[in-house]
This record gives sequence, structure tokens and C-alpha cells, in this order.
Amino acid sequence: MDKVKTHAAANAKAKAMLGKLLKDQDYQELLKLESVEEVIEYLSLNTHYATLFSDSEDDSESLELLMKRHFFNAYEKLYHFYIDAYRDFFKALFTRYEVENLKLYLRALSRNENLGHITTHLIYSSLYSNINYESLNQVTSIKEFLDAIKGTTYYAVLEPFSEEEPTSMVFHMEMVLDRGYFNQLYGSILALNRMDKALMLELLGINIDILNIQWIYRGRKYFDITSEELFNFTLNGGERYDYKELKRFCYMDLDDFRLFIIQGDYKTIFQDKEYMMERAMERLIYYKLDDFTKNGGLSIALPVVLLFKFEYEIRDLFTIIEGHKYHFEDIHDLLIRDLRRER
Amino acid sequence: MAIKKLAMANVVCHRDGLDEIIRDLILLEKCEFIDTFLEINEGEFSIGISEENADEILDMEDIVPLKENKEIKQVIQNLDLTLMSLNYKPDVTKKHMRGDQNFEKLKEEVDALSIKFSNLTDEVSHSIRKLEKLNELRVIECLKNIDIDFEELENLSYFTMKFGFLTREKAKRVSQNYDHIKAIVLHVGTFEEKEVYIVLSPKSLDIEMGRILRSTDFVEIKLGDAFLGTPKAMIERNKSETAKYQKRLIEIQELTKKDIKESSESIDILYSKLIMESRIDQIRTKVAVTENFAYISAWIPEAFKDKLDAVLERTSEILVSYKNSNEVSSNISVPTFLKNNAFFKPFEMLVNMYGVPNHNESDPTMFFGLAYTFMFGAMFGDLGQGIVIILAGLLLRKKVNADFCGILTRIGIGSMFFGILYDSFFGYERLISKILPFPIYIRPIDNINLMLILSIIAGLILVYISYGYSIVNKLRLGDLEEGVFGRNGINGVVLLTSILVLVYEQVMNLNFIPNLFMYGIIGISVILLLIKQPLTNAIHKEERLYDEGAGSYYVESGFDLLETFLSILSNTASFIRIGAFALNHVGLFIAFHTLAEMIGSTGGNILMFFVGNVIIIALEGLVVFIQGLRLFYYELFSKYYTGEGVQFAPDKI
Repeated sequence: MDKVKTHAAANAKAKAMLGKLLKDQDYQELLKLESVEEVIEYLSLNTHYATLFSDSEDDSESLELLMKRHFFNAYEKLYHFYIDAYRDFFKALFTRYEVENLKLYLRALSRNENLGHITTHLIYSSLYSNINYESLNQVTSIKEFLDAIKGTTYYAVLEPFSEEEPTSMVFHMEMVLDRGYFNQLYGSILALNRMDKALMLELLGINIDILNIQWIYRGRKYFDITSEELFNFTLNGGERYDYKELKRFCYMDLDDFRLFIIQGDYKTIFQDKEYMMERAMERLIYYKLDDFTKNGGLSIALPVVLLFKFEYEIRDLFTIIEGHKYHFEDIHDLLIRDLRRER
Repeated sequence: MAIKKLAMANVVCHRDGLDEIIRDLILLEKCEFIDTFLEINEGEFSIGISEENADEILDMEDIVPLKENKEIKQVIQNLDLTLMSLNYKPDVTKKHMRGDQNFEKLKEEVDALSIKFSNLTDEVSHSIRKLEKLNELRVIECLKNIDIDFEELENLSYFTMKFGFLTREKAKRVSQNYDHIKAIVLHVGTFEEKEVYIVLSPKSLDIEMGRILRSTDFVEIKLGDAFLGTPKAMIERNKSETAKYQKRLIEIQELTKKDIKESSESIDILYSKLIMESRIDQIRTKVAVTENFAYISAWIPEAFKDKLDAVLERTSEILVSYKNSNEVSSNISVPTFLKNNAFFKPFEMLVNMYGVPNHNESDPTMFFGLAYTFMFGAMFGDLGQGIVIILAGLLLRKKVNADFCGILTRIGIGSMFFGILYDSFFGYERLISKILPFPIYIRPIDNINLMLILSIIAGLILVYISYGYSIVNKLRLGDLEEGVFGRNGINGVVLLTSILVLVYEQVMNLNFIPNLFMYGIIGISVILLLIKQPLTNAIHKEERLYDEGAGSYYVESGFDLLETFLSILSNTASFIRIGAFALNHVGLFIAFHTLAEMIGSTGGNILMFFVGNVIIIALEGLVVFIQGLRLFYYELFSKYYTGEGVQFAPDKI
């Protein structure tokens, strides 16, 4: 009964939205098209994006924003169906977008870039954000940036950097923000009901595993980072690899590490070309998502899976739009969704 | 009538005079400014079209809104900062706000002020910074049990000592990797929920260690050379330094007192004017301007027109025109200006809790106030407890919501009145009748049936009054369907009355009006209820009889009919609770009285008297308060009151 009270409404909503997401067939059609205009026309005639394109926006920048906002609306709808710990969980989940926003600011500031360019790309919701983006847009240095986020949870973790030469600290600041996000998410999951907790810890664990693998691989391959540092930056809470394994990875030879991973659950990460690693990781998660909803019971899984799939769909659509814009031939290679996958 | 009429004032003035006019209108505290563009876009902004106004009208083509001036906030912040270090709280009063109002001048004054006191403010902020630093260093308190000279530790030849915060999570990470990290990481204590560590590593590994610590988010605390010593000495030193700077701060404040006293009035004036300036600026964003003229729209109470004219006359070359609220476009919502006399005013709070009346609805506050006082009194009738409630209302007025306390004093009067009638004083019955031996007393517990019947009759009277309100409200809006044929209209009254007569005749076995006739009336009334919409449309000679198809209409009105009968029954029965709570009130005290008798001693008696009365006033008082509200909101307001209005909120300082 309790489960019905907590989840019935959100699950019904999520299921309805899930049904509206694009099918493989839609992707096939979209890939056949030749221009951005045609993509927009297809989306507005055949999909749930129909309502978005009322005033023929052809500028792909604002298009991106429109679709992201569409996605955020979906999130806000789900958010309103939940209370207490579940609401906190959704809030934590979406802190990621805020963290990404802040990272964009940090990077731009460290390179003395103009902030005007990023602000048009940002998307945020007042549901979870207490950052004042207007004052953030006015800042000209990292010090001012820190002043502008005073009073938010991010200030506490970034404040220690205020004393240092800030531009060289951007890497560490980003790491701290990321870890803050994972800790918050982890904490919010612990407050959920037993079954939901188990489900979400598993999903988070898989994500963390993949991120750790990527971190160790890239850290070893491209950066001059000691094994100790490497280990210190790995995330806790992995599903498959605990700290002992991670420590072993950090001190392992790079090729051995690669070989080890290829024999395990996450082999697909290294199966493709190296610059496709990011996509391979996303694809892996995308196809794991269905495992979480297959038992069919009421749980937090369905809404969360919807959010993941929705986001991946939007990213694929961006890829398709950009691909058509620059007349790229093999767009399907870049998609998170694998159109050749057998079922 | 308690809802006063509002009028829309459209003002055109010269742009230079705009600020002063807005200021005067704010000080009047009777104008609610609206976005002038609403009026202009609706084609509503009217000024008399005559030759002499030609300039103003022609000019309207290049009309633009005014933007917010962000500088004002900044200047106020600057002034706040200066005043804070001077420890002076300015006195904002209206009298300072008259006279010249010029932002540039104010800005200069603020600058001058901050320069004048800059030496002082600098020293204050220096001391405050120092104190903050010392406060941070209080972390050394967690070292107090370690007896080592930190100067020696700091100056080791082959080892580097670092002292600082580390998160628990990261400390764990470090300990998981001890086999690779060549350092001693020692937990020395917890300070304000942060973990404090000392890290000792060989000097040859400084660079490597620095990077590792970096990746653990280690926050080093620099103790400063002058500070080093044994923890005990360092703590002592911190304390004495803190005391020194604190003393210095107080000294500075003493020193400045005289200076401030001299210029306190000018600071007050400056501050008041700045506050006014920021208020003016908020309103300025609602104003439309052209190169030479400004256009203002505002709601004002109709009765206030003359006063407004008088104020505006002071400024030359100004055009004012007024419109009644019903002349204003329907796209601009008319606020409701409630004005009740002092006795009923507090009850506005409870009415507004349900909803603010529409501007063309009758204000139920007076009816509510009277009937609520009556109902509360009837349910909570006790002379002594009524006095307590009145006293509570009077005493708490300053501390708690004033309106709520006003309500307390008024319902306390109701309680006293019924207390006398019920012959009850702090729960003790037959006390009042001994002093005042008149045959007026009705003790609820002796007259249970009478109480219940009386409460239903009282409820019916209230219901009939609500019907009256409902019919007046609906007919005023020209709503024939609901006002005449609807269940809360004339038809509803007829139906309720016939049912009551029929029931009364059956119960009393009377037959002064033939039953058949009553059935006939009820039958007609029911048919009218069923066909109210097509009937109304036919009377209005509309083309379509049904707004949304006949089928769905009859299904809906069929259910509506069922609900009508149910609600007639439940509405009337609901008022039994007035009698029931009157009985309950006595019953509760009897329970405490019995407890007191069981204890037997005088002390127990007194204790139970107090405990009983406190519980009854707090608990039953609350329950009765809510039940009264419930009766009103559900049984009465739902009949006639929509409460979809917006309160008239004049712009003030």
C-alpha cells in the first residue's frame, strides 16, 4: 500500500512519457533526412516534441535550449509527484546539471572567456536551484564567482580555494564539485525505502564504476598523475569494484588494466575507438536501464529510467541535428542508441 | 456596505516632475499603482481630448516603459555598510521624506559620508578582519592536550609538518593507501564538525606530498610564525589578542558616538530619502514615459478623488482623469477595497482566509463577525473563561497577530454573554443565578433537547440569511440561472421552505397547508432545478438551449439534484453541533470536577480547577474555534461566496 501511495502517480506519468519517446524506427527516418529543417519538421509532425516548435526556430542553439527545457519540464512534473526523501532524491539527481553549469563558468573564467556565450546555453530550474544566475553572469573573476554563489551548498566546498591562485585550481574545483554531487546523491539514496535504495545504489554503482574506469584510464594515459592522486580522486560506492580493486587498478600497468576490464562486465567501454569512449559508456548504461524496470513493480526505477532515456534521446537528437548541419555521413555511429543492435 | 468603490486615476505629468508626484502619492498611502501599459494597451488610458491636451496625446506615439535603476540598491548597501561599522541604526520616518528628492544628490551625500568616516570604518573593518582570523585559529583548542612546542615541529630539518582539515571520507582514503603514502597522518581532534589532522612527511617528498594532499582536499591552517609555541601558549595568546581587538572595537564605537550624534538627523534624512527613492523606483517601472511626459495609472478609493486632486493641484500642468471600476477594461482586475468598522475589522482575516470578496460581491464580514461571535459564544458559553479569552486578546495584542487578538476579544464577549445565559462561571453552574436570581437561565445539561432544537433553528436562520446574500449577489451579476432557478437562488429557498413545512406538519401531525399542495411545490421546484439552463436560455432568447449538449447536461443536473437534497439535509443537521458543543463544554468540566472529588483534598480541588480550566480554554477553545469556522466555510460560504477577489493594497513606504 505504501508503495502505491509513493509511486503510483509518478509511475503512471513516467510510463506515459516513456511510451512517447522516439522508437528505433523514428531514428532511422531521422537519419534519412538531409537538413535541420527536415528534422524539425519530422519532430513536430510525428513526436512528442510537436508542441515545441510552434514558432519556427531554425537556429540550432535555441533549438537545443528548447529541447532541454522540454526535458526539464518532464523532470519537474515527476518531481511534483513525490514528497520528502524522494523529492530530495530528485533534487540531488538534478544537482548534476547545476554542477555542470558551474563547471562551465569556472572553465570560462579560468580562460578569461566571455560569459555571454555560455549563459545562453544554460538550463536550470528554480525547483532545486538557489543560485542566482543573474549575478553569476556579472562576474569577471573566480573570486567574484565565489562571492556570487555564497549561501549555496557549493560555496562551502569551493571556499577553501578562494585563498589560492584560482586559475590553476580549476581542475580541483571541478573535482570537488563532482564529488559533492555524488555524495549528495548517495546520501539521498540512503533515505529511500529498502527496495528503491537497492535499485538506485545499483544504478549509481554502475555509473560510478564506469566513471572510475574512465578516470583511471585517462589519468594514466594522458596526465602526469601519481597513483596516489589517482586513487584519491576515485569515487566511492562502485557496484563492481570496491576500494581494494580500485587501488589495484591505480597501481597497475595501463595495458594490464585495459585487459582486465575487457574481461569483465564493462568490456564494451574499450571495444570501440578511443575517442568514442564517452559514447560507449553512455551506450552501456542506456542498455542496462531496462534491467531496472523489468520486474514491473512499482518503484522509483521507472521515473529515473525515463529521465535517463529522455536525456539520452535529446542528446542523440542534438547529434543528429548537428550531423545534418555539417553533412556528416555516419551519424548513426555517434548515437548513444545502437540502431544495429539485435533484440 | 463594506466594500468601497474604487476608481482608476490616469495621470499625465511632465517627466521632470514624475518622481515628486510618485513620492506624494506614496505618502498618501491610498494609491495602488498598476502597470500603465495595461491601460494603454487596452486603449483605455483616457485623457480629455481637447485642443490644449494635443501635445500630450500626440506625444503618446513614442511611449516606452521606464527601467529599474539598479544603482539605488547599491548606494543603499554602501550606506548600510558605513552605518554598520558605526553601529548606528537610522530612523526611517515619513517626515524626512518630504522636500527635494534627487538621487544624484543623495548619492553624493552617501559618498561624502563614507569619506568622512572612512578612517573609522577602515579601522573597524581591519579589527573585524583580525577578529575573524583569530576566530578561525581557535581550531588550536583541539591541541590543548598535546604538550609539544610547535615551533620545533615547524622547524624540523628533515620533516615537514602540516596542520589542517581533512574530510573523514578523504582521511579514510589516505588510510586505505597507507602502504604507498610516505607520511604520518595523525587525527588530533574535531573542531566545529571538521576533522583536524597533522601530517608529517620527509622534506625530500615535499612536492609529491603537496600534490597528494591537494587531491585529498586538505585545507592547511597557517599558524603564522609569531604565533608558534606550545598549544597551551598559543591558546592563551589567541584569547588575549581577541580580547584586545574586541576592546579596541568598543573604544572606537565610544569615540564615534559623539560624531554620529551630531550628524544623526542628517543621516536619518538621507536614509529615509534613499528608502523612498528605491520605493519610487519600484513604482517607476510601472510608469510609461515619452520624451516629455509621464503616464501613471493607479487605483484609488472613489471617495478619495478630492484629496488626490488637492495634492496634485500643487504641481502645475498636470492632467488627471478618473474612471469608475466598471468602465475599466475587463482584462484589468479590479481589487477589492474592504472597509469595515472597528468591531468587524479583525474578522476580515478569517474571511480572507477563505478568499477575498470580489469587488462586486457583497462583503460577508459583518454577517460573519456577528454570527461567528454568536456561534462561538453558544458553543463555549462561560462567563469566567470568556473573560480570560478577552484578557488574552488584549494582553497579547502587541506580540501576536493583532487581528487574531481582536477576534479573541470579540468572541470572548460572545462567550461571556452565553456564560451568563448558561449560568456558568469557570465551569461552576448555579453560581451566577445565586447573585442574580432572574428566571433567564438555560443550563444546557438540564435542557438537552431544547439546546439541540434551538441550535438547528439558529442554523436555519443563518442558512436563510446566506440564501439572501446568494440571491442578491447572483442577481446583481445578472445570473438568472443560479439566482432564480438555481439551488442557492430563489428556487432553493422555496424548496427548503416547503420541505421544512412538510416535515414540520408530519412531525406535529398538523395539516394547515394540504400535503398535496406542498408536494406540488416541491415537484415544480425540482423540475425548475432540472431545466434551469434551457429555461434561462429560452428567457434570454439564446439560439442554443444547452451550453454543452443536452445529454451531458441532464446527467449533470440529475446528480446536482441528488446533491441538493443531500446538502439540505446535511446543512441543517450540521448545526446540531452548536448545541452539542455547548453540552460538551459542560460535560468536560464535570469530568474534571469528578477528578477533583476523587482527589478529595483542597489542594487537589484547586489544582483540578486550574488544570481543568486551562485544558478547556486551550483545547476546547481551539476545537470550537475551528468548528465555527467549518460551519461558516462549508455550510454558509459555499452557498453564496466566491471569494475570488484581490485585496486593494495601496503602495506605501
